[in-house]
Amino acid sequence: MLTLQEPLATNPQIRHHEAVPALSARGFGVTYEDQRNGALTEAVRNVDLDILPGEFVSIVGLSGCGKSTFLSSVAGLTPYQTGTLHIAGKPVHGPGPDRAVVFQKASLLPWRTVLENVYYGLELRGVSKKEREERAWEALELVGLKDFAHFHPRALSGGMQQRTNLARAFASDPEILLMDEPFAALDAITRETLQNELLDIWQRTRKTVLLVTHQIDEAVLLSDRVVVFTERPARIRRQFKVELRRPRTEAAKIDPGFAHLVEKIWAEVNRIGHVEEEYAI
Amino acid sequence: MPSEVVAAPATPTVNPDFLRRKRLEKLYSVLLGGGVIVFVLAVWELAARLGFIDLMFTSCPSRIVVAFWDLGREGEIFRHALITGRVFVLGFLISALVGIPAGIAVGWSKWTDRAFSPLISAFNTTPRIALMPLLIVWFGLGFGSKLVLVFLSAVFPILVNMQTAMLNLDEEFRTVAKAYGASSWKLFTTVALPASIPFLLTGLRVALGRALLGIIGAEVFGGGEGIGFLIQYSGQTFQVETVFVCVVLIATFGIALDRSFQAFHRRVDHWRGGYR
Repeated sequence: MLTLQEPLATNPQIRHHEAVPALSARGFGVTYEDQRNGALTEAVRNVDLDILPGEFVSIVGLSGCGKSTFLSSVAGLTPYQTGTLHIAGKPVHGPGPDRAVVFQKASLLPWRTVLENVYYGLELRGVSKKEREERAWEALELVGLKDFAHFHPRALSGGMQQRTNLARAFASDPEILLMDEPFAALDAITRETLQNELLDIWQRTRKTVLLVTHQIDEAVLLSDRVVVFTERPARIRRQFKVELRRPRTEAAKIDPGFAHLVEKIWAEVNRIGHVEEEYAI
Repeated sequence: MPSEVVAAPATPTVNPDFLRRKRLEKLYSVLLGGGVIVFVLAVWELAARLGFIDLMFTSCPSRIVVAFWDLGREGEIFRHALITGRVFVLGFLISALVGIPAGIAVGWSKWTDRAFSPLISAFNTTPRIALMPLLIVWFGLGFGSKLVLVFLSAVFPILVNMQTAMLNLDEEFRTVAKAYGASSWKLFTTVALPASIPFLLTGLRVALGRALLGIIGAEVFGGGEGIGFLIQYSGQTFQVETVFVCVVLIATFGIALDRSFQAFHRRVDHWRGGYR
């Protein structure tokens, strides 16, 4: 089990001694109401989580366990009822420009070009046109889409749309990037390509990331730390430090340590009273 | 490194035959549509010439053309057309100026929608021409009452379409805007407004037809000038050709407006697909 005081030697970029975590949740709990019948669902209960600046953290758990609700709540899109949430030391309730979300669906504004979509977050913050274009171009460079800057989203493939979605989040330069199963809707080949690209982009930019995924190998490949959520209401069951050396590439997957860790996390994810059919292997 | 190299946007090789085929297809469709009209006109002319139809009560294409020429030389018809056109344009503009913000205001929040929707539906389903006697009492015979009728005819399609646009704001886009910290105002300008453009254009197009209907109806109903009046007066005095000339004039005007709107729609809506 990981304690946060433990040094994470594998990612030297993590700034342990900075007093302020990028994200800090204490006693965090979310209950939401069904829009149609008013049914209340307790999705998240009493979560304590700190994410340090420059750290890449993944949350894994069974489908429907509340991990996506947790992320949505951190993003400010679903209100939380108990506990506290601090982003870079500031208490937050609603959404804000200190966080950027990569959605599962690319969710690009279809009337904007790729470039205009990428600087959307910056535009909302009132960044000047010159600066936001500059930063959008940099982000497009990162995801390899410079040649498509003036295309409209519908002219792009699903993978390219998702790259634009990533670029938009990176360009916004938030305190923390929140990714909600960003590759789940893609075909297997594109998904793997984008995972590798994200790994590469992240290692070059070292942004703070919180990723929610149901793919354990994805979580292990990308993360410094993997957090396993219990079934609903989601609580933290266990945290795993990923000690694979950085910079990593896809080749890390053949490291025996990789498979071992994936297996351990698998066991932890499934060490639950009821195993949902779709998750039984 | 990214393992997949993203290809530069390639200029696809286009089959040279493709464009030619497309052009030909377009030409044929125009010829076909025009051909049917010409055929109908020819049958009509022939029937009149052969005495199958009574020219006292109807007319035939050649007579209409002659009447058009005569009326044009007289200049009287243009005076009427100008009067009608002025009320039409003014009424339509006021409708847009009032209908767009009103529709946004009503559709923006759930409660304004609930408050005003029943009233709007009631107005929208009442035939506006039924109000004409009242409008004449209130605004006098002529310009005032006609303008109000055009306004009442055209404002609701615009208003209702903008209202619908606001109510049907895509949840996905709303979520993105919120997640990136958009204020209500920014949500409006960066998401609601661009997303409403197709609704707006549909509303304006429907309003165009309604306004035309309104102005002609109002002029037929009462008054001493305008194309509608000319139709009504010519009909009563058995100047059948003049009636036809006016109808053709209105139809041509309506079609021209509708077509230019369609063309405009395609231009501003190109991202929706198919028109790159």
